[in-house]
Amino acid sequence: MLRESHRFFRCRLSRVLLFLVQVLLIGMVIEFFFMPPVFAADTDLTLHPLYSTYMFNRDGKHIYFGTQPFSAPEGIIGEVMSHDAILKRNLKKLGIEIVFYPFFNGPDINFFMKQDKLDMAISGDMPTLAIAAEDKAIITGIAKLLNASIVTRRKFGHLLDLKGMRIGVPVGTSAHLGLLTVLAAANMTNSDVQIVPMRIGELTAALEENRIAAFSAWEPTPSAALTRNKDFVVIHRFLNSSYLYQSKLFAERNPEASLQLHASFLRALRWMNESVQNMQKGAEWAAQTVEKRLGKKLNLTPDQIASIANEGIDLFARFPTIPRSDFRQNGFLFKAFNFLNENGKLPAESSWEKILRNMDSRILRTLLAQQQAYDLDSYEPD
Amino acid sequence: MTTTTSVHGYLERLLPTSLRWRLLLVTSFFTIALFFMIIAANQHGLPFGLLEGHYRQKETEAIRQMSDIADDKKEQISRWFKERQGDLRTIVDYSDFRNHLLAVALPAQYTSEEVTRSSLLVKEKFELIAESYGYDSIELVDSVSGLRLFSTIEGLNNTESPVVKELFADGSDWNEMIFFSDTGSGNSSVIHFVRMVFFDTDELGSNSEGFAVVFNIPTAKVLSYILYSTGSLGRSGEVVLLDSSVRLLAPLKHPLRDGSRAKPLSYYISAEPAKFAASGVEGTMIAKDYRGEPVIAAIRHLRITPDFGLGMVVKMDQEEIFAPLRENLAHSTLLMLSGLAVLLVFLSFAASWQFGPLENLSEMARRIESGDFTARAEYSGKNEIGLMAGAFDNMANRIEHWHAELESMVEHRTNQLQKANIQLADEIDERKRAETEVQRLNSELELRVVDRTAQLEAANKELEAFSYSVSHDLRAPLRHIDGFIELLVSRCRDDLSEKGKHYVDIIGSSARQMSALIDDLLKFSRTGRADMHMETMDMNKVLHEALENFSESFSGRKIEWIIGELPAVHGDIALLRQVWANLLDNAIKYTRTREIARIEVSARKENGETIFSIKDNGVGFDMQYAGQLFGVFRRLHSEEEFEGTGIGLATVQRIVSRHGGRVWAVAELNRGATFNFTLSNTKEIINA
Repeated sequence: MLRESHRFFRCRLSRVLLFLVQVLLIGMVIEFFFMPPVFAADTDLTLHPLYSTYMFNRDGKHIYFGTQPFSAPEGIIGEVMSHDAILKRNLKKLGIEIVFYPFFNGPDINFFMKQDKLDMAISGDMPTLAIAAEDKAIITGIAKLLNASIVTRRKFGHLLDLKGMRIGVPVGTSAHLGLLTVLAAANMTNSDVQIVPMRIGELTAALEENRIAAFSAWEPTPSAALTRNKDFVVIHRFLNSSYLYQSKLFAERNPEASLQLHASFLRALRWMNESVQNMQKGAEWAAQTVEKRLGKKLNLTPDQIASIANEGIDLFARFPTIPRSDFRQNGFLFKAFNFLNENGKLPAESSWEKILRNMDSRILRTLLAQQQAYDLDSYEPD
Repeated sequence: MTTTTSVHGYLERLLPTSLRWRLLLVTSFFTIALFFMIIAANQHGLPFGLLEGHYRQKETEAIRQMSDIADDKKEQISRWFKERQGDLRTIVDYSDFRNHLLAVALPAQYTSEEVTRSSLLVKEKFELIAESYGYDSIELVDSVSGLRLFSTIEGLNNTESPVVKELFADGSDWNEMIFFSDTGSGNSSVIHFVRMVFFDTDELGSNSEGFAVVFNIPTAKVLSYILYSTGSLGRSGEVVLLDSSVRLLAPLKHPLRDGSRAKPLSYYISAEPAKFAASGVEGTMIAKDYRGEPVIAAIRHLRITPDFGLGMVVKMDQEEIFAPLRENLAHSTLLMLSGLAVLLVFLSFAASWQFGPLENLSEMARRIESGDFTARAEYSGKNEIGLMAGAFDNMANRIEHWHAELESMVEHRTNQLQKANIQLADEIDERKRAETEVQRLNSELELRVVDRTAQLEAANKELEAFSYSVSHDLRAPLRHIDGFIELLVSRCRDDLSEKGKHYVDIIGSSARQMSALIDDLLKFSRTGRADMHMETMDMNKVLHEALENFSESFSGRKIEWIIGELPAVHGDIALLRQVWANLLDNAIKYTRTREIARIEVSARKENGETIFSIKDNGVGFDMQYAGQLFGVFRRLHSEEEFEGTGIGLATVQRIVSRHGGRVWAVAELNRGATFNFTLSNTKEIINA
């Protein structure tokens, strides 16, 4: 038997197999020791090193708002709201204290909102659709109307030049859907390129190091990339939006507080849109939060972020009600909903009708009709 | 057959055999291929980005151009819309003017003087703006009823604005809307900028939610210069504007596939660039437009309001873009063909120049082959062909010289051969004659032999008969003589004198001797007449049987017998026993003078026959008389020396002859003799 096994290991095929097994083992070791933990939305994010420090006190005297300081302009909106003295004062009158928690992405926010730990948040189109489709939240206003982009090197003048190349994208997001859309526009399919799943923060470095030939991402990542490397160009853009939404339970539990938060939202938008300086101030607050609380660094200066954010809110700053055109049948968000469904990102009971039912602009309309009463044109930073 | 061999075979069959034409064809083929490859590389570039072809460059250039124009147009359109929006916002959001609007919209809430003053101000303002910017009209419309509360067009006050009413009836949440409507007059359309004027219901105590300020702007008047100033787009280029439903907003430059003209606001474009532009995608596309023509298009999306977006396609036909390249290609092809023609002429000349000497060489070789050894290439070039021609000429010289030598040798040899042939013919004739003579003589000889054999046989028979008769007839008187001698001796011996007695002894001895002679002769005669009974026998046994008969004759003598192993033979046992008896008798008799006689009997194989031998150490004989040994009554010793009749060896010879063998003797005087015989006709039986 020993002789037979010895003969086996002298066989070339066995050596190849042995090599592959070794590579696999080494890869597993590397992944275990060196790869950062990936927390998907359905893993227990309460164990996340940052999120595990968040306290959620459901005593009725605390409200929790989820922000994404990485994103522009929604991150700035959240930061401006967190510095809104009028909001805090009005909530205090209701005996409520508000706490703003920063998160890395929308799915993380949704994880906590579904656990009734977060009451309101601003997130991108995909996570917003996901939680609305699960009947857990109500979409009340729009927080961003911007473009996401496909960034590549200057030598690639057209998407067809990227045939067979590696394109980095956060899978399951609007950037992913946008990439598939522009591939279709160029008569290509996802099998014509190599889609490489990546986190939003890894894309620019990967492109610089030529690990990928292009990436698809939402702002401010494309603008940051273009600023960092003059060889980078945008070859395609597609729609990208964010929304304000609140937990259904919160809306039922505390409508007055909800109203105050929405008023703060309107106030923040108007204050940001009022002047470049205001927007830059908000961007500074967002950069500080990213650095101090998330332990990261934004790749853009506050004024660069402010410029992007201004473009993102310019169309609706004074009237951020939900644009119905994006939610029409066969519109971009309808396609986004189908995309999430096809990729198994939504529970079986999700439906487009639920999303439509969970859209409500009446709060904002009510506030807009009582601008003075809710001090919509005033802002006091704390 | 390998693939290479089969390809070579196919090419050999396909191509002309002439090297000259092959060179021309192959060179032309490769030159054309090279030209096309160069043109193709020049036009389309090389893979892996090694070389960017003209088509690729042109495409990149066109993409850049479309993108630049699209960005420019987008900027212009966006700016134009922003300016209109700005105008509206200024009117609506400017608080002082807003109050005048409120007074016009809600006159019940104000005094008549305030309403009148506000109406005048609003009219003045609206008319100024409309005239300044070329608007069709500016209106103030109630959001619930859809009634025009004010219009710059006379006579429209308090009339229904159906389009705006439909807009309000939607119940959507918006504060600013932009939309297009068809004026019903062919290709013309109107853009409506609508902005809600909200007010606090509690503040004014009104049930109305609000009203709207509407700018009505003719599309053709204001967008035409943006959309149709496309000089850099060439003959086929155009800018196409659509709404989010892919509905055409401005007239197209080209007719549709069926030749008809698409009507703005009624026609929905199904081309891919338009659909993607309307859905919010920006970038460049290489696709087909609404006519089905391949175009390079830059697509842009303009988000004017949260609920209103425009799609824009800036495109140009690929045919027009690449037309210069196709012209270049045609020129290049023409140039290539011209160059090829020149090349072919040159190659033809070169082929003649290079292959001419080869063809001459071939002709010279053919002449030599046909026997003309004077053919020479006589090529003085210094190249490889010159070397080959030189070598050919040397070879031809050699061949000529060898041929001459060979001819001479052949002639000489031919002469020799002819002579030899003549001689041979003579010899053959002679031989034939000799053969004929030999045959004739042979025939005669055979006849003679037959005749002589018959005579000899007859003579032998007569002789045998005579011998038998004589011996038989002679024995009777001898018996009488011997008998009466014995009587005489026995009865009258005393009466005889000594001399008489001696004479009687002599007569008796002679008679007895004669009797013995006759007996032996009789036996000899019998051996020649008796029938042979052939059988296989053990020669050892035959020898010992013969030896037993002599046991008394050599008793008292010292005889050393050396008897070897004798093979079995095929013959007449009685006759062969007689042979052994006679030979043994001789050996015993002629070794009598030896103190120890030595008699050796053996058999050996020589030249395929078995030779039986009896060797003794007796008196031997002189070999010059060896031929007489086997004659009848021949003796080499006297009777006084050794008794005998001289018939024994003759008998041996006769018996051996009858067995097809031969007998001979070898001896040396006083040293002994060896008698040998063979039985060639007998079959030697090899005992298993």
